[in-house]
Formats: sequence, structure tokens, C-alpha cells
Amino acid sequence: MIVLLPVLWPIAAGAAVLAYTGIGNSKKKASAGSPASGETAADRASGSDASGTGSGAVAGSAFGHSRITALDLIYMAALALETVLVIMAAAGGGSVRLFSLTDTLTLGLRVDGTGSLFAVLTSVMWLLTGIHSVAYMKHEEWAERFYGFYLIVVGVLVGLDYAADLVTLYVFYELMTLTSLPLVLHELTKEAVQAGMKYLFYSVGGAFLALFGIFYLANVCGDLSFTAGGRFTAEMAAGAPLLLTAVFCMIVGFGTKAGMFPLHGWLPIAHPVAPAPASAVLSGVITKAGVMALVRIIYFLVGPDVLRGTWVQAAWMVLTLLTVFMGSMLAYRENVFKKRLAYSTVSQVSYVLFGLSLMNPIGFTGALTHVVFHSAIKTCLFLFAGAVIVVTSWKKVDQLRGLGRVMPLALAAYTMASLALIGIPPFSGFVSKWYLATGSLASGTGALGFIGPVVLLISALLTAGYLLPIMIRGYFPGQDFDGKEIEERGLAKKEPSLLMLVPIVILAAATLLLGCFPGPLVAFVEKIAALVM
Amino acid sequence: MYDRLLAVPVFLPIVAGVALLAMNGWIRKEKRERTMQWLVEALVLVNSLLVAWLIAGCGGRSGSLVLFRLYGQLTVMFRMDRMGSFFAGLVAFLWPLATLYAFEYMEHDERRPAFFAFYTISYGVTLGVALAGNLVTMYVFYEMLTFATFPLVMHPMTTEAARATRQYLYYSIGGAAFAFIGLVTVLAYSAIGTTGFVPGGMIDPAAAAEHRNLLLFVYVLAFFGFGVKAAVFPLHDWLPKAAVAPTPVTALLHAVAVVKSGAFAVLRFTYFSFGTEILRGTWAQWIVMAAALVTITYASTMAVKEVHFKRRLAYSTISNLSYILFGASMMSPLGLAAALIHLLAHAFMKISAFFCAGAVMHHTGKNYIYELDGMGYRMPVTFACFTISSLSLMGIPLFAGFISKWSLCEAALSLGSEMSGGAGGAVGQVLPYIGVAVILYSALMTGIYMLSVVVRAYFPGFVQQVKEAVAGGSARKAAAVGAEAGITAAGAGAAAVIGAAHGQNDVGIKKEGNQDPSWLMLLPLVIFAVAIVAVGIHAGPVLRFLALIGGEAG
Repeated sequence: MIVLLPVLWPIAAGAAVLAYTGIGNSKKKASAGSPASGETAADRASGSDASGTGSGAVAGSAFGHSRITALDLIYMAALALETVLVIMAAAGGGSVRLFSLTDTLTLGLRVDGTGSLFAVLTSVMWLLTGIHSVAYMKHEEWAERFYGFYLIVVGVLVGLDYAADLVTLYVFYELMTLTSLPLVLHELTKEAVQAGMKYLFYSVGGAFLALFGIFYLANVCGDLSFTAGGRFTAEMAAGAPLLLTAVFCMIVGFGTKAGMFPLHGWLPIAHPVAPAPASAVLSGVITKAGVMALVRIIYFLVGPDVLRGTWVQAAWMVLTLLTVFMGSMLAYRENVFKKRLAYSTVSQVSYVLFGLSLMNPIGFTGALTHVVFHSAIKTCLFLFAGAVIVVTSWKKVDQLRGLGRVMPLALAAYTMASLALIGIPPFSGFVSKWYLATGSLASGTGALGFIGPVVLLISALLTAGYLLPIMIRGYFPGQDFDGKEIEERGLAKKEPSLLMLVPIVILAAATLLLGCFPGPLVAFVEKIAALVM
Repeated sequence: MYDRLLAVPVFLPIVAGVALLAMNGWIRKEKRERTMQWLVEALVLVNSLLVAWLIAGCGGRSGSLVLFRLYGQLTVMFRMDRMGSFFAGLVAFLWPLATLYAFEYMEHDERRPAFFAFYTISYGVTLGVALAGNLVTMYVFYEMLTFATFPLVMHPMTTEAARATRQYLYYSIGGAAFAFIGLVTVLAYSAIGTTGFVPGGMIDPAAAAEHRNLLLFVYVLAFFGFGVKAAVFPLHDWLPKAAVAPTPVTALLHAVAVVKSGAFAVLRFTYFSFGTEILRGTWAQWIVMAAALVTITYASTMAVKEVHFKRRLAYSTISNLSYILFGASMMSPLGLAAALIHLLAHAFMKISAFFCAGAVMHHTGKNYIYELDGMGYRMPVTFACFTISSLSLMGIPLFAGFISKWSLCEAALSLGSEMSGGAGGAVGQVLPYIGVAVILYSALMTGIYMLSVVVRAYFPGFVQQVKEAVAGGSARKAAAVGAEAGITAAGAGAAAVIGAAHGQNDVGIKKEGNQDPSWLMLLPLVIFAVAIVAVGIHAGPVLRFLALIGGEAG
């Protein structure tokens, strides 16, 4: 039963926040002397306009922590409690049957190693990003709505991680799309709404593609609950002519969320238009929900033994390698900072998928460790981008010259995360990439097994190419840099506020620590790998 | 006694409706519309309770009542079997709520008595289709349904309405002619000498073997004949046009009663007259299945293109009706059960979607999708219900639509594996799988055409523009942006922003605030929304009942 708590608590808390703000808003408006009734979004805008006049919502102005409201505190406390609950559930184990949709479709949750890994990761990233978001949302509007949906999404994600069978996973997967949509739409600009629609339609389309596979598996297999190593034997697979097609549909379908080619188009559009904390979790955590779904299907339902050496494996490998290369290339050419990071996500999540497509223990280990590392790194990078926006309102990469004079400490954290993403030892990315490369060579997939490491290497070079210049030009802007804007706006030595800086620094430190002492994590993942293969 | 009562729910509304028509002038002169409405509601409610009592009383036995003989073996008779009770129960559940909804919707209408008269007559006729005990009776009521409902399409009395009515009549009567061929053939080849419904069909197997291709041809004709009311491609065109009718008509008749009578007739004809034994694996099955799939693809694509709110929903109806026909065309117990669960789920989802559209139209006069920006905040309850029905139509789990989609695909895949041995020829091996793909494609299209409305309603993209204009200090510009978007919500939003900026109280906004309709409209909406969720999270009992029907007739 304990596994229910981390799912229900944030959903209830988020719903409560959403319900409360309706009331809170009208009160505020009444005191401001503006129209009391009416609930249009425009009205809300007016509410915060009226109350926030002169409060310096303009970027670049100073704000300390004095304006942290009770709601902010409750919100952070709720996230902290969520982390505790997830850890308790992970430690406590157990399973629960929720209810039955029909006689054959039941929903249930079950704690296992993989689920715990993803759930703990999710809740920790959510907590750190949540703390950052309190500061970030001071210069955005409708913070309460953001808090509400932000809380709900984490509950849904934990439910997805602990899902006991494919139908439950699918339920939470759809709910995740729908509840995370308001985060993308948040700013209510034309671009945001268009990007949100794109996000929605790609996700839903992908989910329906995957649903074809689910229908087919249900028809062939009957029972869709997850078992380490899969449920299919060679004879069962031989008796199901469309099994491989169905699996491929699910790979492409769930791969949508992970930004895998050919359904990656939404990601670089949708991630950057969201507020930076939302981009951080969208890239760092929600993309991993697609990964999670594929882990479950390949390693816990169909079984790697059935798929190894088939055309599905080869096609999947080709798609991931293509995505890895393409994402890096596009990131390299992109000038908008957050968009560059989003392209980077496209490329990096496909590292994970590449590891999964190898279907051997080494590749699996590389994939799951890269899930953790990329999550920490990319969250850190996006939070940094958010801090830059709040402090300087700079959004383009070529504006970031001389950033080292503004926020040397934060830029140092950025540097650490960048090095980790490139895969330079002793930072964490190196460990996962090592496993991915050796796994690829040992996979016995012929030429593809050799092409893999080459693509990873090229992508690492491109990663260096798109991340490091920001650091270099930040610290060493060059002789011709006059720093006029920085002086005029009084930006010199203006680190982001502690609420933003602390999560960034913690995450940067984590990328280093995990790289230096990867032992426990690798051992944990290898244990899972041994179970499923 | 029980058996005799079977005719009452059919004829009570018809008699009452005719009486209303007769008193039309008096009611209008005396201004007794209000009283008349409540009497109608009471009558409809009593009738529904009677149906409920009959269903509950039917239990295991299936009572039947022969009303009169047309000629020889042609009898008009009613019978309450599981399948009939299912449809009758659904209709009886929806009608009182829809009548309640119609009160507020029709409040400014000149010709209310006539409207309610025909509305009530349609109730009886629909029940006649549901409770018909043989093909002749069903055919009679099927024809009557056309004539009882065309005045409702005609109701707005515009040129557009007249054209739509004409088309509706031509299509329906033409379709009935094809269905008539089916009726005659069934009688000629009947093993029992009558057209009575027998689970599993009653065509004489020996005769069937002899004239196999002729029978199959007649089946295809009759499928399209009855399929006209279920708007099967290429005979679908009347339905979007008929959206000119008042919303209670579009919602109840053109999303449930009339169109589902068509689907129900197809199911009856396929599973209770012809029998799936003769049809399974033949070219006739693949033709009708292909027709259903083409309809689904075509209509869900058209719905995305359509910007008129009600017409978009009408196209969605066409596509969803063919989900039912797709289930019917599987000729298997699972297919029948899946068709019926979708019949139920779609009834709730589409009637509630139409009611939301109607509430918006009635209270704000907005007819087009692009006018709906920000409406979610002005009609919160309405749009909450609309969101639920949208998600359900898409087939998101935890809503009824998912259950029916799952059942349909499960049935299609098991048909596919059954046919994989080559029993149905080359087409039979692939068509069921194509069917699943088509359903998923349609689900994606549904997502696009429904959720784009929801997103617009809750997350209007213009807000930022308005705000920027205000920040720029130009109140006039802000209002202009709002006006430019052609949206009163934007205008209200802009006014609110301006009001706030100047620290003034704007009384006008208060009126604009909550525009949700009164309880007459909200109660049906909320009940349907609850029903959608209830079926969505616990469909076990319904499915078990439907499996019984499928088991006996498939």
C-alpha cells in the first residue's frame, strides 16, 4: 500500500493548489480593487499585474528571498515529502492492485529495482528543480498554476515508474502527456500554444502507435504484467507472426517521448518554450518516461532473447544512431540557448536507447547509468539557462559572451556539467559512455556494433563543440569585448539567487561525484541487468 | 400482463406527441408552454421508468406481444430480449435528460409545442426499433423514425434547414428501399417462415447454400440500406448537413437515437436475421468491413478540417458510428459485444459533447471553433464536461472510450488470427489488422479535432498579446488586439486588464464572468460525464452482459 502514497500525494497536493488558487486569486483581485469575479486567463493576468506592480518582474532586477510566500514554502515542502515518500516506497517494496477496468484489464503498482531507480531519480530531480522554480517563477506569471501541474506530473511519473503491467503504464503515460501539457503551454503566447499542440499531437500519436503493439501483445500473451526477462518464449514468438512489427511500433511510439527519430520533431520546439524549470524536467526526466516504457516492454515483457538478432534490433540501432548524430549536429548549429540544449537532449536520450537496443548486459548497464547521469546533467544545464534568463534575460548563445563576469560560480557549475555530458573523465558521462561503447562492440551485431562507438565519438566531439564555446567565451570574452552592457545594467558579479544557485551547484557536484564513485550505481544496475538477461 | 405492457412505452409517447400537435394552437394562445414542458418531461420520465421496470422484469424470459398481422406471416410484434433491452435502456436513460436540456435551449423558440411533440414521438418510435421482435416491425419503425424526425431537422425553417431536410428524406427513404430488399429476401429464405429475430440467424442453411452469392449480395445491399441512418460512406452526407437542427435534436437524435437505430438495425439484421454463419469469411464481410473503415478514415479526417463546432462533431459521429459497424462487420461474438459497448460509450460521449456545443451556442452565440478562445474560464462546468468527453472520444484510458476501443481492437485481432489460416482469403488476412490501424489513426485525428478545442478554451494564445499591449500603456491597442481576435472573451480580458491597470471597478466584467447555463442544461451534462468515467473505470458488469449477447448471437 505504501507505494500508493508517492503517487497520490502529489496529485492531491497539486489539485489542491489548483483549486486554492482560484479562490486566492479572486481575493487578491478584490483587495486590489479590480474586478472580483471572472476567471479568464486574462483576468488572472490582471490579478498578478495589479498586485505585482513595481515588484520588479522585469528581468535583471534584484530580488532576494523576502518575497517567498507561504504557498512557495508549502510547495517545496510537498516536493520534499514526495522525495521521502518515494524513498520509503522504494525501501518498503510491495505491490498493490488498484482496480479493474474490465475483467481482464486491471491496474496495479509494484515496486522493483528498475522502478525504484527511475522513481527516486524523478523525485530528486523534481525537488531540486522545484526549489529553482520558486525563484524562477517570480519573474513569470501564473506561478500557482505551474506549481499545481508540476506537482501532479511527478505523481503521475512515479505511478508510471512503479506500474505493474503494460496497461497501467499506458494509463500513466497518457496522463503524463496531458498533465505536463500545461507546463509547455504556460506562457500562453502564440508560440507556446502552437508548441503545446505539437507536443500533444506527437505524444498522442506516438502513444497510439504504441497502443497497436499493446493490443497485439494482449491478444497473443493475455497477461501483460511485467516479469524480469520477459514473458515470451521462442515458441510463443514463432506463433505470433506480427510480434516483431508490434514491438517496432511500440519502439517508435514510445520513442516519441524520448525524442527518437523519426518522431522527434516536437522536442526542440516544445522544450524551449516552457519556463526553464519545466524545460529542465521535460528534458531531464519526462523524456526518460519513454525510455522507461521501452525498458519495460523489451526487458520485462517481450524479452531480449526473442528480439536479439532480428531486424527490429538492427532497425532500432540505426534509428538511435541516426538520432544521436542528427541531434548533436542540429544542436551545434542552433543559436538559441535552450533550443540548443533541447537538441542535445534529442541526441543524448538516444544514447540511452542505443544502449537498450544492444540487448546485452553491458549495453543495458550503460543505458541505465546514462539515464541517471543525463538526467542530472541536463537538468543542471537547463536550470543554468533559466538562471541566465532571470538574471540577464539573455536567450541566445552569442549574447552569452562575458557571462563569466556576471556569474562565475554558476558558469563553473555549467562547465562541470558540460564536461560530464561530453564524457571527459572523471565526470560521470564517461562511465556510461564507456559501457555503451564496450557493449556495442560486444553485442555481436556486426558492422553496426562497430559503427556505434564511432558515432558516439563524433557526437561527443560535437557535444564539446556546442557546449564548451559558451564556457570559453563566458570566461574569456576576448580583447575586443568591452562589457558595456554588463556595466550599464549593473550585472557584474551578479550570481543568481541562492534558490537557483544551490540546485545548480548540487547537480554539478553530483555529475562529478557520480563520475568518481560510480561503483554503487553501476552495481545496482548490473544487478537488474543480470535479472533481465 | 407483462407482455401486453411491452407496447405501452412505444405508443404512449407517440399518442402524447400527437395530442400535443393537436393542441398546438391552444397551448400557444394560452401561453401554457411552461406547463406543457413539465408535463412532457413527466411523461417522458414515466415512460423511461416503465422501460426500466420492463427490463428489470424481463429477467431470463423474453416476453413477446403480437400487436397485429399485416398479412400472412407479417406480424408487428414486440419482444424484450437482451439486445433490445440494452438499446431500449440506453434510449430510456438519455431521453428524459435530453428533454430537460431542451427546455433551456428552446426557451426563446417560437414553435416549442411542435418541437416537443415531434421530440416525444421520436422517443416512442426509437423504442419501437429497440423492442421490435421481428424484421418487419423493425422496418416499420425504422421508416417511421424518418418521418417523425424530419420536422425536427426542418425546425429552424431556414432555406438551409429545408435543403438539409430534403436530403435527409431522400437518403433515408432510399436506404429503406434497399433494406426492404433485405427484408423480402430474409422472409423468402427464412427457416422458421417468419422474420422473427433468432440469435445466430434464421436463414435456411440448405437454401442458403444454393443461392449463396445472391444472399451475400442482398446482405451488402441491406447493410448499406440500414447503414444510411448510421451514415456509412458514401451515404453519410446528410448527417453534417442535418446539424442545422436545434442542438437537442443533433445531440440526441443525430448522435444517438436515429443514427444508432441505423447501427442497431445493422446489428439485428446481421446477427439475428442473416446469421454470421453464412457471412463469416465471405466477400460480403470484407466489403462491409472495408466500407466501415473507409468511413472512419474519411470522417475523422474531415472533422479535423471542419471549423464549425457542431459540424465537426457531426463528422466525428460519422466516424464513430462506423466503429460500431466495424464491430458489426466482424461477424463474431467479440465483434458484437465490442460494437455494443461502443454504441453505449459513444452515446454518452457524443451527446455530452453536443450538449456542450449547444450550451456555448445558446449562451454566447459562438458557432465556430476559432471563437472559443478562453471559453473554459467563462463556462467552467460545461468545458470540464467537454474535456471529459473529448478525452473519452480519443480513447484515453480511465474513460469509456478506451474500453470500447480496446474491445474493438481485441475483437479485430482475434478475427485476424482466426483468419490467418486463409479461411477468409487474402483480404481477410490483412483487413482486420488494417482495421486496428485505422482505429488508431482515427483516435489520433480525434485527439487533434477535440483537444484543439479544449486547449483553445483553457489556454488562449492571445493573452500575452493583450498583456503586452497593456504594458505598452495603450488601452486602445489592447482592446484592438482583443477585437482583432474576434473574440469577446479577449475583449473582456482586455477590459479586465485595463480595469486593473487603472485600478477601477469594471462592472461589465462581472456579468461576463460565469456564463455556465442553468441546472437544466448542467444536470444532463454532469450525469453524462459521470457515466463516461464510471464506464471507463469499471466496465466489468456491462461487458459481461454484452458478452452474453455476443455469446448467444455471434
